[in-house]
Amino acid sequence: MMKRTIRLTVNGKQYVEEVEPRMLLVHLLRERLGLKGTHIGCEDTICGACTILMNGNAIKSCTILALRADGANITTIEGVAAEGKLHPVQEAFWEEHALECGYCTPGMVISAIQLLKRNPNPTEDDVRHGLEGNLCRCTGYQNIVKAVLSAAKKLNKRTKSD
Amino acid sequence: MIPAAFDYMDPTNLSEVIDILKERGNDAKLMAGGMSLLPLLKLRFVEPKIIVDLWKVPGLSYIKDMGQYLAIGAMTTHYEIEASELIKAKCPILIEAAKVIGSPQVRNLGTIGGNLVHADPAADYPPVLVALGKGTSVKVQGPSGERTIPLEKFFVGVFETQLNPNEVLTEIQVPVQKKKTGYAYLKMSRRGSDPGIVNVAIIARQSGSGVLEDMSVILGSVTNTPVHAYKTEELLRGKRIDAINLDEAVEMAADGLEPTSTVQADAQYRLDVTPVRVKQALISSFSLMIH
Repeated sequence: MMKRTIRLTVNGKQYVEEVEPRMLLVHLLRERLGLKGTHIGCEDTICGACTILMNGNAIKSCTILALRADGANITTIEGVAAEGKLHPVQEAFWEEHALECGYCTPGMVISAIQLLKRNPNPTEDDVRHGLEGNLCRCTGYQNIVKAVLSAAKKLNKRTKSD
Repeated sequence: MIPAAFDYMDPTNLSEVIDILKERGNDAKLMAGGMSLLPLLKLRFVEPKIIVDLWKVPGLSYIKDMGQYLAIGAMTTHYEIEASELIKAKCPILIEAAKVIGSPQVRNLGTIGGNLVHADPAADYPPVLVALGKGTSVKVQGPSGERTIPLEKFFVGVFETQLNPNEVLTEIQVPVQKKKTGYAYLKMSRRGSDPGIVNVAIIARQSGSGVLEDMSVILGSVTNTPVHAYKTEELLRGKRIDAINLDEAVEMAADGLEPTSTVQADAQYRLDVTPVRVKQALISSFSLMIH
């Protein structure tokens, strides 16, 4: 199995890596680049704990080959807080107590960021459907939904005052 | 959950892909979005020697208005279909299927071409495409050139289509829905991204005199391929909606079918639930038809 060299940008930093074709992106991020904020839950495309942003789209990094990250711009949970200041979604998760064990949280935050970018004024139903790809075993989702709705308000206030 | 080792190729044009399939077709598997293939690779249910990734082949991702029909490139993602204003205006039932596939993350990568050639009995596009009727077809390319396959003949069995091992599906053609077409796609699944247990696609149109003329009731995930609920269609066609006995019409929806038993639900459950879901889908489609 011939290794290939890929070039990718993760959280603003450029990397050059040699990978086997069968390497999954989540393993590249965690084992090779040391970015362990992205979690592995089911490894079977169901739980969404591995969700990251690739070229602006939320994708499950356990179900994509690392080779597909060649030339890509990736944001993991480590890159969400800009210059040490929490993203409004992270702030809202904190304020609304939307995490207990925290295992699903990185994936939830990333999915929420995509949800709000595509739909800045979601209803509760929109949020529940928009997070279908992310499972949580602790919270029962109530506070996660509250957090996303709260983050929507924060983001809308921010754009208004820009 | 790491795939078995494989060789990887990502050709930059379609004829290269076809050449590879011609020479190594038996050892190779095409990858589009990877949303069905990668889970199979990770569980080692399949161990192809070569993966031929289509992601660098240009010109396979588009949604074009061709007048009487829409042409959709095989590598168009479910999200692109979901968000398409053109499809919303001209073939909205397709969006009803696209928006319930998997999860938002899966829809960012999964493609309509990949979904169709994988031919999972629980897949969402197939019943919708069958409901759209005779104007629906797929274009495929192989060593002997290009051919068009009518969609109603495309699905042959579980994970089986009319595609030959050395062919590539390149385009899906869907007819433009006529004005005042009633439509619905109802998927029933236990949790968010679970596969559908009984899926119902409806296309309904009234004639000028208010009589149901076009009437397609298609069941997905009930048997191996999408099928017509023939008895229901028969009982509805030619009637005015205010003269229909809906319960009677849907009672025979699964008549003559041998539903499958799967991990999600057994055959009896599917038999029992089908009329209920068909009724809900019909009501939903009629309300669109008359407004």
